Amino acid sequence: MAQFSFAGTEGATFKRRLYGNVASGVSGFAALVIVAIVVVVISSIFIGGYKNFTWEFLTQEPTEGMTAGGIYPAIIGTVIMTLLMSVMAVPLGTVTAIYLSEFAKANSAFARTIRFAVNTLASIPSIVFGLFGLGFFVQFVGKGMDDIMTPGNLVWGQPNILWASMTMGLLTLPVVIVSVEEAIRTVPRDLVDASLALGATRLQTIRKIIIPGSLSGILTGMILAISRGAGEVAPILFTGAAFFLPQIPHALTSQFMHLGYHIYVLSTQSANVDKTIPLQYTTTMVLLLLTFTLNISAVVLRSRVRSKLKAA
Amino acid sequence: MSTTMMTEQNEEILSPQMRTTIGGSTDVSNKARPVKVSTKNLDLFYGAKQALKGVTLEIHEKRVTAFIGPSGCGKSTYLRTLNRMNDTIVGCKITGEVIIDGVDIYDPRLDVVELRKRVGMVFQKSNPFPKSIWENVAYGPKILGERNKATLNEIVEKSLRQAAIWDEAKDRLHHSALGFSGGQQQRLCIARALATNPEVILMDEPASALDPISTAKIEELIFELKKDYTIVIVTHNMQQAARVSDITAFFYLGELIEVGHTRDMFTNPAKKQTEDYITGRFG
Amino acid sequence: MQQKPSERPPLTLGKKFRFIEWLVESGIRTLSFISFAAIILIFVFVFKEASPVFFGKSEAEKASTKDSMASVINLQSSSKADTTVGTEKVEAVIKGKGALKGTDVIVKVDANGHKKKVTTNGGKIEQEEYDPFADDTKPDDTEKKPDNTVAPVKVSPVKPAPDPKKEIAKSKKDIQDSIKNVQNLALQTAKAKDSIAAAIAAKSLVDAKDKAEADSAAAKEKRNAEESKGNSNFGKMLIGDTWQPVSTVPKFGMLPLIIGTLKVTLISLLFGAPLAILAALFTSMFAPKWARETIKPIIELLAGFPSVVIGFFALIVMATIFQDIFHYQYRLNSFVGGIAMSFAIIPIIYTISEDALTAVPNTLRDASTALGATRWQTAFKIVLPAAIPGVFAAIILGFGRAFGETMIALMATGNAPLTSANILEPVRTFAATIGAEMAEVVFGDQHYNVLFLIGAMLFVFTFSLNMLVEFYVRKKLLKRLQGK
Repeated sequence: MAQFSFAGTEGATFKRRLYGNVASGVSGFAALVIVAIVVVVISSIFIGGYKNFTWEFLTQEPTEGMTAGGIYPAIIGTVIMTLLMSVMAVPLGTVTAIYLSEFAKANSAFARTIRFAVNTLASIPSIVFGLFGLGFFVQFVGKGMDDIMTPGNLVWGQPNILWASMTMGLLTLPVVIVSVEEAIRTVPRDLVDASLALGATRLQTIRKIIIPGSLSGILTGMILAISRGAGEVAPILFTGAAFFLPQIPHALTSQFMHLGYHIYVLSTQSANVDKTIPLQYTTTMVLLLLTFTLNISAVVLRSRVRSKLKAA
Repeated sequence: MSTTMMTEQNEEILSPQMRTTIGGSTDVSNKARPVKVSTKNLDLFYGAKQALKGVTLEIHEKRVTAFIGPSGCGKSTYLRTLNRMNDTIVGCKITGEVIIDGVDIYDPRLDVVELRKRVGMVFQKSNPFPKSIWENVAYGPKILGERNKATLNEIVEKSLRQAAIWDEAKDRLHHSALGFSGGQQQRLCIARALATNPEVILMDEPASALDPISTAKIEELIFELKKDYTIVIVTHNMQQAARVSDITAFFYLGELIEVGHTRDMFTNPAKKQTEDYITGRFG
Repeated sequence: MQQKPSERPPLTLGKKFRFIEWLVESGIRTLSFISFAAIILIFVFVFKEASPVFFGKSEAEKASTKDSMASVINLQSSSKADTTVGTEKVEAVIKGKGALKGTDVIVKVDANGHKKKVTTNGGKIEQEEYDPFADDTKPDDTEKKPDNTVAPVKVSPVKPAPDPKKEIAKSKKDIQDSIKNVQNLALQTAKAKDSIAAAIAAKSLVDAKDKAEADSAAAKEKRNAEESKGNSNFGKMLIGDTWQPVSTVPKFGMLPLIIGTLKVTLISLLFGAPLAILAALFTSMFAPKWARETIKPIIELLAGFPSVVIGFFALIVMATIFQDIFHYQYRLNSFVGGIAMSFAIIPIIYTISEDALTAVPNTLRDASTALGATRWQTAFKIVLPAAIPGVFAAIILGFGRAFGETMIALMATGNAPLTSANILEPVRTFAATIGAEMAEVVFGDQHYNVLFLIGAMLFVFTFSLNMLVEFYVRKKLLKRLQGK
């Protein structure tokens, strides 16, 4: 080439510009479609639901064959179930995460196996947990307890809030483990070393340095677990959720109403679906508000943890 | 220089006779200080990689021993074997002996916590806990079981004074330690290490991240502390080694090349590699 | 404290025993082993419960015959308690079963109501046109009874239960007679179309457990007899094209479920994956900062949607709109379900692809840009190819999620096990089958085992997908980016 020249490249440049615009346009459009989906889902639920969203709706029991009234027992049932679930899953998950990051040797086959198991557990369909809960907790443990304590009497060997919470606890265990482990990683190794070098034992280091340093992560794990527990329905379909129960659960052996399950039964099982549609909308709206609040606080906390991780 | 030659040389250096000639004989001010820490044929592996090769060395009581050498030569790794901080590293394997006060510290019966009480450590990057200054210094005594507030106060003050940071810290004892400057933080870390009253203090490039004034302060401090403590310091700064240490050891590629009185090392090194390093031909 | 070094005893060997330390550390170990054990337990249990489908059949039968002695007594005593005829009694048991699940007000439960249920059960499965709102699988829910009706059923068989041995000793002859009775009774009931369903349901009630086992053992015998007549063998049955778990001769042909699951999953992937990947490309390559910072949280928000909410939206809002637009026959079908399912997998695919895309080193982008490539050329020729394994992983994990998602499938796909290629017809997925039928099933029954088999299949499937991602894709990704 004798001379350096841009001559004759105009066509190519035009083509490149065109492709560039098409590429960013198409991908931008895809992003827009997703955003639109989210907006449409949220707005249609809120538009359908806000009219009934009253204090009475939140604090009254369903009446007239569930075609009227509120969702108070479902809210309380959900809250109790998630509380029971967190009481089991959060300490267990936290301790397991501590074990994995501080006790198990990081690259040992054992630790790797456990991590893989935790990841697998996180991706198992939630309905499988339901199966497990029914087969193991209700039929095996519950019936076993009945056979021993009150032979012939059906006390534990039926779906109840305890078994549902335990099933849900297993479902949320990996959520807690993963987020606490992530939080523990944000505690600078320097500090751990400094503590050990001062003659602190492993436990003292965990208690005084690691746990205070990863508190926000533990909190995130807890919130995410609660949010998941509040929203999942499949695991409790046959481990304890009740269609309609006027009173709130009073013992570990009672069944309970659950917001998600309530939506499911109202929209597919009730005798008069059309009549309850406004109630369904509002219940969905309540559930959505609940999970939003939890998720947004988890996202905020987690982004704080992540920025700390980057800084460290 | 071929590798074979180097190995031969090292074997020569590490021979027992050599060590006896080094130990104490050249020290003018304090003759024949007892040996506090000694290692024999110490090998250390990270997985398949050998980081230390047959290091045999003696460290004398109430002396400042400096380790010099280019980055990655194993000097920090060696330092961390002395209070078993390498224990936390996965895949780290150690053979040979490390003897402190006549006890092999890699004996499985040894209580690591007891060891670390006696062998304190100051790290390269200042790492105060995200707590108050008081809490930082009192951390060590507290975990060792001291509950009495008055005693703790006493220890805190004494340690801070020893570390020459009392004047800066006394009015803000209950403020976060992270409010200190880098140099102050490092001196706080020294105070924190002193608070458990160790016998040996290991310092891993304590001044590498500091400005000249803070560095000078730390060096002054080391000079003071020498009276009561056995100090081992790793530095990549040869002037610093020359200024603060009594004995200097030169590491290269995981091997201890030469050890001797600091003055001799810097004026009349016995090995060609040491001379090359000191005169700045590599490293 | 603060002894001078000289005052301190010299360093000696010998480990100090710190009791609290030891206690807490063992506590931590125990707790974490409990959670590991729980994880392993799930793995094992699901398979264990599924295994009788293939291996444990004879054993189960043995067990149930073993139990029949005791159950006879139970039956006897319960028939004493409520002096009713066999069929009616069974109904009572079923009522109890329904009540087990909870209680209901809309109830009008009696023998009639119950019979109705069973008919629907049988009818529905043969039914080709499907009305989701008449979903039979939960009639127990709609026909639940208030607690007080349960009580007598609960109590009646209990009283004699504590001393069965005594009774055995008391009257061996009685027992033998009653065995005959049971068998006759069971055979009699089994003749009726809904009898097996009744026997099955009966079995699940704990207090009547043993009796029910006797019933179902008899029922099984009958079933086996039918099978041996050359009706079908079980392995063949599993790959058959009819799913009729509740009928005289239950059919567990999984073909319609496989087709249904694949239809829904593929539709959701075809719709969701391109959207999510393009959106990931947009936010990681083209989007201005403000757009990126708006889009990402919105998609994260979508990830937090409970699936029952998406299912509800699909069922109430989307299905109607789509039907108005496309004018197809069935309101709920695999198309609606698939699109709804894609809402659940979009955030997964988006997040993982976005991570993979942003993980491509900047040096690669810079090199490409320095050679005069435009942003889209860099995006499509450098960044996307480098991140392909990650994007692939995203699709796989999205696939796994769609495959196992229950609530959306349960609510929005129509739930009819049809063998058809038409995406506008209702379908039933594996997960939805478990969700819909598990509550009705008898513990230890063949149907129960088959549902566990489906669960195990879901399990194995997601597990293998995970393995694929973990070991293959990640390795490949590392290889591409770091040349390892």
